[in-house]
Amino acid sequence: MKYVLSKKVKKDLEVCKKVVILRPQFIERFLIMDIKPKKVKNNYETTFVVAGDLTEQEHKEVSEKFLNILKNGEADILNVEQWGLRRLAYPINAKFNGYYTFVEFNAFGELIEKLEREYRYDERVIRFLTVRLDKHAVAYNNKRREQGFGMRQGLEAK
Amino acid sequence: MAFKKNMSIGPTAANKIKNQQLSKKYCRFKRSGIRYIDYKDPNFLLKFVNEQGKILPRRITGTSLKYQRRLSTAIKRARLLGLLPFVTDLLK
Repeated sequence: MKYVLSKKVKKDLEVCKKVVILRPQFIERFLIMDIKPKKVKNNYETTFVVAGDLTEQEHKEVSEKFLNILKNGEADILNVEQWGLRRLAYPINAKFNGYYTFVEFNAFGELIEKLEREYRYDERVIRFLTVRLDKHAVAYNNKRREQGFGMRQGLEAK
Repeated sequence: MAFKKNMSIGPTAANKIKNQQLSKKYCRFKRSGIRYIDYKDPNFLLKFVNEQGKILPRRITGTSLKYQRRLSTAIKRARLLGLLPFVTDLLK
């Protein structure tokens, strides 16, 4: 977490430094009550599955809708992958196929609630998963993006 | 009883122990330096799942505890998205 000192505290600190000969870190330790956490964007990725019995146009509409939700919520979209029509490992809602869409983005945590609520309202979305990424996952995703969609190529070969 | 004892010391049992020592199990994530296990790659996760789609125990695959934990979450995420089955027969 990054911290920002409020203006008042900064002034106090400067006065303290002048008057008392103390280490600045030492003073900060006493003023910890006044320190506010700074808002930081986290790394996320979502995948959602749209029912396979829809046409491709409808699928495009759905994916655009959710991308717009992300854009309106001040999210920085890093990568969008369309995996296309895939066979599901088991039938979901009596459907055997699904369109997969995968998005990587940086956003504030409050956006996730909104996004998942929209997923639940939309009946065309069968499944969704949002994951917050740790540093290893971010490194892995950067590598994956550089190499191209290895998984997608494998799917097309199938 | 005496006969049984002889059996356990017999050449076959000794060979088994020797073979185990020669091909010691290891954690493939530690050895190849994989830090993050991707749930989006079902073909890779298939190696750690048996024919019914169950997660294989550590004592068979030899993965370390840390990576077995990450592996199990990855497999469960893949199942949720319909990339891996919960239950099947003849997966492999």
